[in-house]
Amino acid sequence: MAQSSTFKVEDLKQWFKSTVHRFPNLGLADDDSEELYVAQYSVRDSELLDIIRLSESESEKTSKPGSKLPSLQNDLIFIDGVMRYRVVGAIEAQGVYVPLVIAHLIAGAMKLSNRELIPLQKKELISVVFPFTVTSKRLGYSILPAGVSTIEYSRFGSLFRNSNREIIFSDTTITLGEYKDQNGQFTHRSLISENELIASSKIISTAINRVKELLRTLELYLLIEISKSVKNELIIIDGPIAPLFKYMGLIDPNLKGVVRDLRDAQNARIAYRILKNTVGVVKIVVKIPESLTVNFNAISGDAYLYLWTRLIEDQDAEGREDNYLATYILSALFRLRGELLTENYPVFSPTSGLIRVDIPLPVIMGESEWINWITNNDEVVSDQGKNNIRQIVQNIGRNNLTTLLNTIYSLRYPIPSSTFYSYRNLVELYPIKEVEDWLKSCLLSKYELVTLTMV
Amino acid sequence: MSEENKSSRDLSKDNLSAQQAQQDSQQVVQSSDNISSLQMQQSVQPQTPQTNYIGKVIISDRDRAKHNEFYVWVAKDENIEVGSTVLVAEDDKNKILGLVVDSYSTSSAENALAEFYSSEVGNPLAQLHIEPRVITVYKVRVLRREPAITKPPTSRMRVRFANQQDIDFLNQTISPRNRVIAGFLYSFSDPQNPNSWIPLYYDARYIAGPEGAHVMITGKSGLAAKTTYALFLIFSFLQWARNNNKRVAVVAFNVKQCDLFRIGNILQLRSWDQVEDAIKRYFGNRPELASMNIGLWRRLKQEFNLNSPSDLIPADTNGPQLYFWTYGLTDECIRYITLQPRIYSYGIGDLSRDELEEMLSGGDYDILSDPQQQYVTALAAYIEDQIRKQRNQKITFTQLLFDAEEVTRQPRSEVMQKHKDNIFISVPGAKDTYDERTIKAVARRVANFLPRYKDYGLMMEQQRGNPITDTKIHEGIHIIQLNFPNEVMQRLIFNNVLNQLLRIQQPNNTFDHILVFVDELNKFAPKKTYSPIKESIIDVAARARSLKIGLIGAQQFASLIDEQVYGNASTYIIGNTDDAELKNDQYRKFGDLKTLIPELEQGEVVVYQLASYNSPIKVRFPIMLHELQ
Repeated sequence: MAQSSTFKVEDLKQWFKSTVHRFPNLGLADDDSEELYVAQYSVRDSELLDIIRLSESESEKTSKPGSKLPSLQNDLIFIDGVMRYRVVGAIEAQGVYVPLVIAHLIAGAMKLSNRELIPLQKKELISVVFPFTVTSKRLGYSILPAGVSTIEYSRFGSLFRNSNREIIFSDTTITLGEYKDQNGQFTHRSLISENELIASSKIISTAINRVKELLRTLELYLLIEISKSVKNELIIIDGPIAPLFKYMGLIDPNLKGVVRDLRDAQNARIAYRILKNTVGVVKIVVKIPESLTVNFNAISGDAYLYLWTRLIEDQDAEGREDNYLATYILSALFRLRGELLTENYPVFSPTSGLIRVDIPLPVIMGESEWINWITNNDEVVSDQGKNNIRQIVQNIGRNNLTTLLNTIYSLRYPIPSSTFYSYRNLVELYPIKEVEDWLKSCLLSKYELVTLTMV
Repeated sequence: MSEENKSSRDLSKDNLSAQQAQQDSQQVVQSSDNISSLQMQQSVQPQTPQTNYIGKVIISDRDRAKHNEFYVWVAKDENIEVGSTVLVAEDDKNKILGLVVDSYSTSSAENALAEFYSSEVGNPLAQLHIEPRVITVYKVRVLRREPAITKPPTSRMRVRFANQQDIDFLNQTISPRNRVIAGFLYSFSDPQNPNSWIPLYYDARYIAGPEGAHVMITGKSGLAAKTTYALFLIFSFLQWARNNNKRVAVVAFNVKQCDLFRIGNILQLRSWDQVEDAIKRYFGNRPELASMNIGLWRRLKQEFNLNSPSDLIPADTNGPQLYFWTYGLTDECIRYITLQPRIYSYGIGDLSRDELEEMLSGGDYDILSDPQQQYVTALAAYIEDQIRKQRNQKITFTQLLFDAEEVTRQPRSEVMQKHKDNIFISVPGAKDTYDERTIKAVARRVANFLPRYKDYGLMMEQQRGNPITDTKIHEGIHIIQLNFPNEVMQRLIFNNVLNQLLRIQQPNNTFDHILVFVDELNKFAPKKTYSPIKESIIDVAARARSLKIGLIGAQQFASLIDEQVYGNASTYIIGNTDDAELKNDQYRKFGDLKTLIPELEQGEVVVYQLASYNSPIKVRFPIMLHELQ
């Protein structure tokens, strides 16, 4: 059958009216590249545990004249990291010029005290990133400075000897972390081969991803330091929790097992102490449970609590956010600033404006309960494991969860006010932005970075 | 006032605000990252006794530091007043004293929309767990630096409030023996405590010579700022003179109402308690102003070393050196004085050539036609010549009036026939050179003028009256009444007295200094108009410095004063003035402080003496004691 004559504008409008939900901004807001990453992957291995109503009552109460702002249940500490890198030159390997990257990394923490954010601590690192092994192999000799080894090979367990802007060398020939091979052994995977040395962009992008992983490790180091001395404070870290823990072994060999073998009770115990006061807030939610139903009328004021039923690790994704989802971390997804969706912010998908709060089970479980659970459910959650969690979430743990999520929710104002990434105005917590701004002011400028290498 | 620095005088809290004394201690991010857990727990460090720094110099691309001004950030809410707070920026090698001339607060919020959204999307009652950081930035104008090199700050120097020692350092540009109190800076502690008021000084050599002279005071009428400040300055100068054994005469012209005639009330104040009670009554429902004025007078009492309020008025063995001059006993201002007034009068023989021309033109010399101007000049010359050479004893104002009326009524030919001695016809060229209409026009002016103002200081019947001459000016304060309806008479007497003062100081200064105060200076030296007297005043303004005569001129609009008079001043003072007036060039010198001027209150002025300070400064001064009654 021949097609009917040209599809007209009026027809388009009618079809839209009956079929398509319009976004609040009608598609008129400016683009934001960050939004492209939101909900890139759907995850099947996830289960909805509960829907927790985020309370408006606090803001209603405090909006009445004469009412007093209730104090937070815990003191809060915020952790974030910043980095700056430069491609400062190239090393020639038999006619092939291979770019070399230098980066300055800082992780820092601020504490909320009397409605004011006070700097607490920071850690700094300078890293030289290059495919040393494969280039040295091509040249036939080592190009590392005398007496220096890369962290991938020799610094395992003691990444930070001196905490004040130490210089480390990182080899992008291989992954930073170790992954199980076909034989079940943990080993570094290859990232750059000899015939890829001419692929400058790959060299540089691999270096940048390495720097991001190193930054996560630095944040983890700071988190471990701080968690040793906190009592009731809640530590809120920017980004997902699980990927941080991949490199525990780099910080302390005793912590290696925390990543690899939580079936061991001792490892579980160590993990408990670090995780019991820590949550992560993810502002660009890349992985999203496939069962999450989202529209603009729902999921505003409600937090959808999910369990990841299997350890999910993207081995090819060094540097990518959300490349690691752990079974022992509950994730609550909700819109932080639903009221702003109708304002002129970039909202181009049903998942726009979502954040994810990663809550390690130790936050809502006692230590023995935790040890009992994780030693049986670290890579795949059994049915019994799911039931245990459901019971905790709906009974004893519910108060904790509700309080915690409402605490995060109560921090949604003020907004961080960012024009470069306007999407962040929907999803970023102001204190995290403040930590970032503080740390950025401490970063070496690009000129100073380059000058590090000049005689 | 003592010549010595009063550095021993201890400022309460060293010019620090009360808030600083109770400031919370701050956590410190240590340069080394190795913070032990113990230190983490003790992250709130107790504050050790040390200089209380409140901020730092900003060196950024947007807020650049220059040699004469720079910006500082201040983290906490401090009592810093634009225009009068002096800050100190220092490091190991440099110290810079500067005046705060502008300010703004900022935060990381990019615009008003972000602020609106941050308050729970436009909820003014929203209470948030986090207060977004607010930083206040102050612009500082360099007043003095050590070492004295003209260059910008090159490091992020720490900033604190200036203390007494710093102000002493600032005042060192003026030798102690030349210091005249210009006003006070307020340290924002207890207003009644005299130590809360830090004196700022003028250099006396730039008030009434020899280095510079003249003070211009500008401000709106009705706010009592100009006259009050002028009197404050006069008393301040007199105290300086007393302390330095200088002979000073003050000649003040009362141009409006009876303002200056009430000065004598000061003599009736017996005690300082009486003064403070009067201040409280005067300010009634504004106790904060009462407290400030009490504090200011307590400080002035110390600075001037006054036993009694009446000590403000200079005195000798014969009593107070306060003299009142007026035109007659019908002057209603006499009721305000207890001392016997002196009566002045000016006969036609007492006026100078310029003054005669002014009078003969009825004060409108500028709008006369050329022939009329020529005739007036010739007539004045003739009269002066006749009187000086004693050729005609009959020339008086009365005779002049009679002759003027005769000329206006009758044709020239008839006058020539009947009254050959008519002054108007006797002028050389009156018979043939000057047109009859010209002569009649001038005569009409004279005929209008004299009857109207004969009761305001004119001696009609005799050639000479009782003018204020050099021999009648003594050490002390002379108040001369000029409050009558005609500006011509005001200008005449003003000019005459001014020339007498010049005569007094030549060739060897009879007085060490003479201060002359006149309100509404624009009447005497208006811009753009020409008159014989105005030229005379300009000449005096130009020469007075070398004769140690200082003119204190007050006016509502500086833009109306002749530039040669206004521009010759060494010291400028401005009180509350409208934005429209401030747009004129005369006010450019006040720089950033121009924005403050429309907000100045009673008792506040911005002062500028370039020879002493690089910047205008806002100061406070008290109400004058005679105004309290």
